[in-house]
Amino acid sequence: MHELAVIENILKISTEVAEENNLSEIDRINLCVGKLHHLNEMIMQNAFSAVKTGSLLLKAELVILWEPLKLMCSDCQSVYEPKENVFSCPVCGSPSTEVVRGRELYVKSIEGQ
Amino acid sequence: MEIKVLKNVLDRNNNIAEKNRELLRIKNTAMVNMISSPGAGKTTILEKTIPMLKEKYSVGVIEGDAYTSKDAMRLKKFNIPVVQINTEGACHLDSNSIYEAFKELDLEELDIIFVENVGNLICPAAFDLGETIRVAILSTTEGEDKPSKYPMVLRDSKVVILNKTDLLPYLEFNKKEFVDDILAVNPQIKLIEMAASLDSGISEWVDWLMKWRSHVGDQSFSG
Repeated sequence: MHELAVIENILKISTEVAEENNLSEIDRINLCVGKLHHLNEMIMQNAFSAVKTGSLLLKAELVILWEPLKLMCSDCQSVYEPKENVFSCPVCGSPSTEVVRGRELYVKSIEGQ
Repeated sequence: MEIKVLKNVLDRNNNIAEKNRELLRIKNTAMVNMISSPGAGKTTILEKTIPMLKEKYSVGVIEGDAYTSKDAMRLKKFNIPVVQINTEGACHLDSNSIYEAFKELDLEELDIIFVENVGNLICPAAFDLGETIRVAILSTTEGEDKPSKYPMVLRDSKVVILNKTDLLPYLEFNKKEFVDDILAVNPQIKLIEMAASLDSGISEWVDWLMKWRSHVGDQSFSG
Protein backbone atom coordinates (compact mmCIF):
# COMPACT_ATOMS: atom_id res chain seq x y z
CA MET A 1 0.00 0.00 0.00
CA HIS A 2 2.27 2.82 1.17
CA GLU A 3 5.28 0.82 -0.02
CA LEU A 4 5.48 2.89 -3.18
CA ALA A 5 5.71 6.19 -1.28
CA VAL A 6 8.41 4.67 0.91
CA ILE A 7 10.38 3.38 -2.08
CA GLU A 8 10.22 6.76 -3.83
CA ASN A 9 11.77 8.40 -0.76
CA ILE A 10 14.45 5.71 -0.56
CA LEU A 11 15.46 6.32 -4.17
CA LYS A 12 15.51 10.08 -3.61
CA ILE A 13 17.76 9.78 -0.56
CA SER A 14 20.06 7.24 -2.24
CA THR A 15 20.39 9.30 -5.42
CA GLU A 16 21.29 12.42 -3.44
CA VAL A 17 23.95 10.60 -1.44
CA ALA A 18 25.37 8.94 -4.58
CA GLU A 19 25.64 12.30 -6.32
CA GLU A 20 27.31 13.94 -3.33
CA ASN A 21 29.89 11.12 -3.38
CA ASN A 22 30.32 11.09 -7.16
CA LEU A 23 29.11 7.52 -7.61
CA SER A 24 28.19 6.54 -11.15
CA GLU A 25 26.46 3.33 -10.15
CA ILE A 26 24.63 2.14 -7.05
CA ASP A 27 24.93 -1.64 -6.53
CA ARG A 28 23.10 -2.00 -3.28
CA ILE A 29 20.83 -0.03 -0.97
CA ASN A 30 20.77 -1.30 2.60
CA LEU A 31 17.52 -0.40 4.27
CA CYS A 32 16.53 -0.90 7.87
CA VAL A 33 12.81 -1.51 8.52
CA GLY A 34 11.06 -2.04 11.85
CA LYS A 35 8.32 -4.65 12.02
CA LEU A 36 5.80 -2.17 13.41
CA HIS A 37 5.54 -0.52 9.99
CA HIS A 38 3.62 -3.40 8.36
CA LEU A 39 5.68 -3.08 5.21
CA ASN A 40 5.61 -6.06 2.90
CA GLU A 41 8.94 -7.20 1.44
CA MET A 42 7.54 -8.53 -1.83
CA ILE A 43 5.54 -5.38 -2.55
CA MET A 44 8.57 -3.26 -1.71
CA GLN A 45 10.81 -5.25 -4.05
CA ASN A 46 8.24 -5.01 -6.84
CA ALA A 47 7.81 -1.27 -6.31
CA PHE A 48 11.59 -0.88 -6.26
CA SER A 49 11.99 -2.70 -9.59
CA ALA A 50 9.20 -0.65 -11.12
CA VAL A 51 10.40 2.75 -10.00
CA LYS A 52 14.21 2.59 -10.30
CA THR A 53 15.23 4.23 -13.54
CA GLY A 54 18.39 5.74 -15.02
CA SER A 55 21.93 4.44 -15.22
CA LEU A 56 22.69 5.28 -11.59
CA LEU A 57 20.07 2.85 -10.27
CA LEU A 58 19.76 0.31 -13.07
CA LYS A 59 21.76 -2.45 -11.33
CA ALA A 60 20.84 -1.52 -7.79
CA GLU A 61 19.40 -4.13 -5.48
CA LEU A 62 17.42 -3.40 -2.35
CA VAL A 63 18.48 -5.29 0.76
CA ILE A 64 16.10 -5.04 3.69
CA LEU A 65 17.31 -5.63 7.23
CA TRP A 66 14.25 -6.29 9.36
CA GLU A 67 14.24 -5.04 12.93
CA PRO A 68 11.96 -7.02 15.27
CA LEU A 69 9.44 -5.29 17.47
CA LYS A 70 10.91 -4.96 20.96
CA LEU A 71 9.26 -3.46 23.98
CA MET A 72 10.54 -2.45 27.37
CA CYS A 73 8.37 -2.78 30.45
CA SER A 74 8.14 0.56 32.27
CA ASP A 75 7.78 -1.23 35.61
CA CYS A 76 10.26 -4.11 35.67
CA GLN A 77 12.44 -2.97 32.72
CA SER A 78 12.27 -6.35 30.95
CA VAL A 79 12.92 -6.14 27.22
CA TYR A 80 10.96 -8.59 25.07
CA GLU A 81 9.46 -9.31 21.67
CA PRO A 82 5.67 -9.33 22.03
CA LYS A 83 3.87 -12.41 20.78
CA GLU A 84 0.65 -12.04 18.76
CA ASN A 85 0.66 -8.31 19.49
CA VAL A 86 0.08 -8.70 23.18
CA PHE A 87 2.15 -5.73 24.27
CA SER A 88 1.85 -6.18 28.04
CA CYS A 89 4.89 -7.46 29.92
CA PRO A 90 5.20 -11.27 29.95
CA VAL A 91 7.31 -11.13 33.13
CA CYS A 92 5.29 -8.92 35.51
CA GLY A 93 2.09 -8.40 33.49
CA SER A 94 2.38 -4.60 33.44
CA PRO A 95 0.47 -2.92 30.58
CA SER A 96 2.81 0.08 30.64
CA THR A 97 5.41 -0.38 27.91
CA GLU A 98 7.66 1.55 25.57
CA VAL A 99 8.56 0.63 22.00
CA VAL A 100 12.36 0.38 21.95
CA ARG A 101 12.77 -1.26 18.53
CA GLY A 102 10.44 -1.73 15.57
CA ARG A 103 9.78 1.83 14.42
CA GLU A 104 12.97 2.07 12.35
CA LEU A 105 12.71 3.08 8.73
CA TYR A 106 15.99 4.42 7.40
CA VAL A 107 18.53 4.01 4.64
CA LYS A 108 21.50 2.50 6.45
CA SER A 109 24.02 2.70 3.65
CA ILE A 110 24.49 2.53 -0.07
CA GLU A 111 27.17 0.59 -1.95
CA GLY A 112 28.46 1.52 -5.38
CA GLN A 113 31.28 2.85 -7.49
CA MET B 1 32.57 1.32 -1.65
CA GLU B 2 29.96 1.55 1.06
CA ILE B 3 28.69 4.94 2.18
CA LYS B 4 26.90 5.30 5.48
CA VAL B 5 23.62 7.18 5.06
CA LEU B 6 21.52 6.66 8.23
CA LYS B 7 18.71 8.81 6.94
CA ASN B 8 15.08 8.31 7.93
CA VAL B 9 12.96 7.52 4.89
CA LEU B 10 10.05 9.56 6.21
CA ASP B 11 12.23 12.55 7.15
CA ARG B 12 10.61 14.85 4.63
CA ASN B 13 7.10 13.95 5.82
CA ASN B 14 8.12 14.21 9.48
CA ASN B 15 9.73 17.62 8.99
CA ILE B 16 6.66 19.10 7.32
CA ALA B 17 4.49 17.47 10.01
CA GLU B 18 6.51 19.32 12.66
CA LYS B 19 5.99 22.55 10.71
CA ASN B 20 2.23 21.90 10.68
CA ARG B 21 2.25 21.14 14.40
CA GLU B 22 4.08 24.38 15.16
CA LEU B 23 1.63 26.34 12.99
CA LEU B 24 -1.31 24.81 14.86
CA ARG B 25 0.32 25.63 18.18
CA ILE B 26 0.86 29.28 17.25
CA LYS B 27 -2.72 29.64 16.03
CA ASN B 28 -4.09 27.72 19.02
CA THR B 29 -5.91 25.30 16.76
CA ALA B 30 -6.20 21.58 17.53
CA MET B 31 -6.24 18.91 14.84
CA VAL B 32 -7.77 15.42 15.06
CA ASN B 33 -6.51 12.81 12.59
CA MET B 34 -9.29 10.23 12.11
CA ILE B 35 -8.10 6.85 10.88
CA SER B 36 -10.29 3.86 10.02
CA SER B 37 -11.10 1.23 7.42
CA PRO B 38 -13.40 2.26 4.57
CA GLY B 39 -17.01 2.28 5.74
CA ALA B 40 -16.33 2.31 9.48
CA GLY B 41 -18.38 5.49 9.83
CA LYS B 42 -15.97 8.45 9.89
CA THR B 43 -18.22 10.76 7.89
CA THR B 44 -21.38 9.77 9.78
CA ILE B 45 -19.61 10.41 13.09
CA LEU B 46 -18.57 13.86 11.84
CA GLU B 47 -22.12 14.57 10.67
CA LYS B 48 -23.31 13.91 14.22
CA THR B 49 -20.39 15.59 15.98
CA ILE B 50 -20.18 18.88 14.11
CA PRO B 51 -23.65 20.29 14.97
CA MET B 52 -22.99 19.68 18.69
CA LEU B 53 -19.47 21.08 18.68
CA LYS B 54 -20.44 24.08 16.57
CA GLU B 55 -22.33 25.59 19.49
CA LYS B 56 -19.09 26.14 21.33
CA TYR B 57 -16.24 25.81 18.85
CA SER B 58 -15.34 26.89 15.37
CA VAL B 59 -14.81 23.68 13.40
CA GLY B 60 -13.23 22.88 10.02
CA VAL B 61 -12.69 19.64 8.13
CA ILE B 62 -9.98 18.37 5.80
CA GLU B 63 -11.42 15.53 3.76
CA GLY B 64 -9.06 12.95 2.32
CA ASP B 65 -10.63 10.87 -0.38
CA ALA B 66 -9.00 8.73 -3.02
CA TYR B 67 -11.12 10.03 -5.92
CA THR B 68 -14.46 11.63 -5.04
CA SER B 69 -15.88 14.62 -3.17
CA LYS B 70 -18.88 12.69 -1.84
CA ASP B 71 -17.83 12.91 1.82
CA ALA B 72 -17.03 16.62 1.55
CA MET B 73 -20.48 17.25 0.06
CA ARG B 74 -22.10 15.56 3.07
CA LEU B 75 -20.38 18.01 5.43
CA LYS B 76 -20.85 21.25 3.50
CA LYS B 77 -24.44 21.54 4.76
CA PHE B 78 -23.11 22.60 8.16
CA ASN B 79 -21.71 25.85 6.75
CA ILE B 80 -18.23 25.12 7.95
CA PRO B 81 -14.99 25.26 5.96
CA VAL B 82 -14.34 21.89 4.28
CA VAL B 83 -11.21 21.36 2.21
CA GLN B 84 -11.19 18.41 -0.10
CA ILE B 85 -7.94 16.59 -0.87
CA ASN B 86 -8.08 14.00 -3.61
CA THR B 87 -5.15 11.67 -3.20
CA GLU B 88 -5.56 10.34 -6.76
CA GLY B 89 -5.71 6.79 -5.51
CA ALA B 90 -2.95 7.11 -2.90
CA CYS B 91 -3.75 5.20 0.27
CA HIS B 92 -2.94 7.90 2.84
CA LEU B 93 -2.68 11.64 3.40
CA ASP B 94 0.77 13.08 3.95
CA SER B 95 1.90 16.15 5.86
CA ASN B 96 2.47 18.19 2.71
CA SER B 97 -1.12 17.81 1.54
CA ILE B 98 -2.24 19.07 4.97
CA TYR B 99 0.17 22.01 4.72
CA GLU B 100 -1.39 22.89 1.37
CA ALA B 101 -4.91 22.49 2.80
CA PHE B 102 -4.03 24.92 5.64
CA LYS B 103 -3.67 27.66 3.01
CA GLU B 104 -7.38 27.38 2.32
CA LEU B 105 -8.36 27.57 5.99
CA ASP B 106 -8.35 30.47 8.41
CA LEU B 107 -6.38 28.78 11.19
CA GLU B 108 -6.68 31.87 13.37
CA GLU B 109 -10.42 31.46 13.35
CA LEU B 110 -10.64 27.67 13.86
CA ASP B 111 -10.60 25.83 17.19
CA ILE B 112 -10.72 22.26 15.91
CA ILE B 113 -9.83 20.74 12.54
CA PHE B 114 -10.92 17.19 11.80
CA VAL B 115 -8.89 15.34 9.21
CA GLU B 116 -10.81 12.49 7.64
CA ASN B 117 -7.95 10.32 6.45
CA VAL B 118 -8.25 7.91 3.53
CA GLY B 119 -10.02 4.71 4.64
CA ASN B 120 -7.14 2.39 5.51
CA LEU B 121 -5.72 1.15 8.83
CA ILE B 122 -2.13 0.59 7.76
CA CYS B 123 -0.68 3.36 5.63
CA PRO B 124 -2.07 6.46 7.38
CA ALA B 125 -0.51 5.18 10.62
CA ALA B 126 2.99 5.72 9.19
CA PHE B 127 2.41 9.31 8.11
CA ASP B 128 2.47 11.97 10.79
CA LEU B 129 0.37 14.92 9.63
CA GLY B 130 1.30 17.18 12.53
CA GLU B 131 -2.00 16.38 14.24
CA THR B 132 -2.63 17.09 17.90
CA ILE B 133 -4.24 13.70 18.43
CA ARG B 134 -5.06 10.60 16.47
CA VAL B 135 -8.39 8.82 16.78
CA ALA B 136 -8.97 5.29 15.49
CA ILE B 137 -12.45 4.20 14.44
CA LEU B 138 -13.24 0.51 14.19
CA SER B 139 -16.68 -0.95 13.55
CA THR B 140 -18.24 -4.15 14.80
CA THR B 141 -18.74 -5.48 11.25
CA GLU B 142 -14.97 -5.59 10.75
CA GLY B 143 -14.60 -8.31 13.39
CA GLU B 144 -12.87 -8.32 16.76
CA ASP B 145 -9.46 -9.24 15.39
CA LYS B 146 -8.58 -5.79 14.02
CA PRO B 147 -6.74 -4.50 17.11
CA SER B 148 -4.24 -7.35 17.00
CA LYS B 149 -3.77 -7.03 13.23
CA TYR B 150 -3.16 -3.29 13.18
CA PRO B 151 -1.36 -2.42 16.41
CA MET B 152 0.47 0.67 15.13
CA VAL B 153 -2.63 2.78 14.61
CA LEU B 154 -3.94 1.86 18.06
CA ARG B 155 -0.60 2.35 19.75
CA ASP B 156 -0.53 5.96 18.55
CA SER B 157 -4.20 6.84 19.10
CA LYS B 158 -5.64 8.73 22.05
CA VAL B 159 -9.18 7.45 21.50
CA VAL B 160 -10.64 4.40 19.81
CA ILE B 161 -14.28 4.44 18.79
CA LEU B 162 -16.07 1.12 18.36
CA ASN B 163 -18.87 2.05 15.97
CA LYS B 164 -22.00 0.18 14.87
CA THR B 165 -22.61 -1.41 18.28
CA ASP B 166 -26.32 -1.53 17.34
CA LEU B 167 -25.44 -4.44 15.05
CA LEU B 168 -23.90 -6.54 17.83
CA PRO B 169 -27.00 -8.75 18.26
CA TYR B 170 -26.63 -9.86 14.62
CA LEU B 171 -22.90 -10.47 14.63
CA GLU B 172 -20.54 -12.96 16.16
CA PHE B 173 -18.38 -10.23 17.60
CA ASN B 174 -16.36 -11.04 20.69
CA LYS B 175 -16.28 -7.71 22.47
CA LYS B 176 -14.18 -8.94 25.37
CA GLU B 177 -11.46 -10.13 23.01
CA PHE B 178 -11.65 -6.81 21.14
CA VAL B 179 -11.27 -4.75 24.31
CA ASP B 180 -8.53 -6.99 25.74
CA ASP B 181 -6.55 -6.80 22.51
CA ILE B 182 -6.81 -3.02 22.37
CA LEU B 183 -5.68 -2.65 25.95
CA ALA B 184 -2.83 -5.09 25.34
CA VAL B 185 -1.50 -2.73 22.67
CA ASN B 186 -2.38 0.56 24.35
CA PRO B 187 -3.59 0.48 27.96
CA GLN B 188 -3.96 4.28 28.10
CA ILE B 189 -6.41 4.54 25.20
CA LYS B 190 -9.94 5.89 25.75
CA LEU B 191 -12.57 3.50 24.34
CA ILE B 192 -15.95 4.88 23.29
CA GLU B 193 -18.74 2.58 22.13
CA MET B 194 -20.98 4.12 19.53
CA ALA B 195 -23.86 3.58 17.15
CA ALA B 196 -23.43 6.85 15.29
CA SER B 197 -26.45 6.51 13.03
CA LEU B 198 -28.66 6.15 16.13
CA ASP B 199 -26.84 8.96 18.01
CA SER B 200 -25.72 6.48 20.66
CA GLY B 201 -22.32 7.32 22.15
CA ILE B 202 -22.11 10.67 20.36
CA SER B 203 -22.56 12.78 23.47
CA GLU B 204 -19.85 10.82 25.33
CA TRP B 205 -17.51 11.48 22.40
CA VAL B 206 -18.42 15.16 22.12
CA ASP B 207 -18.01 15.62 25.88
CA TRP B 208 -14.60 13.99 25.68
CA LEU B 209 -13.64 16.25 22.75
CA MET B 210 -14.72 19.38 24.61
CA LYS B 211 -12.80 18.39 27.71
CA TRP B 212 -9.76 17.55 25.61
CA ARG B 213 -10.00 20.80 23.60
CA SER B 214 -10.04 22.89 26.75
CA HIS B 215 -6.78 21.20 27.81
CA VAL B 216 -4.85 21.40 24.52
CA GLY B 217 -1.33 22.55 25.30
CA ASP B 218 -1.65 21.16 28.82
CA GLN B 219 0.65 18.12 28.90
CA SER B 220 -0.87 16.70 32.07
CA PHE B 221 -4.25 15.93 30.41
CA SER B 222 -4.52 12.17 30.22
CA GLY B 223 -8.04 11.98 28.80
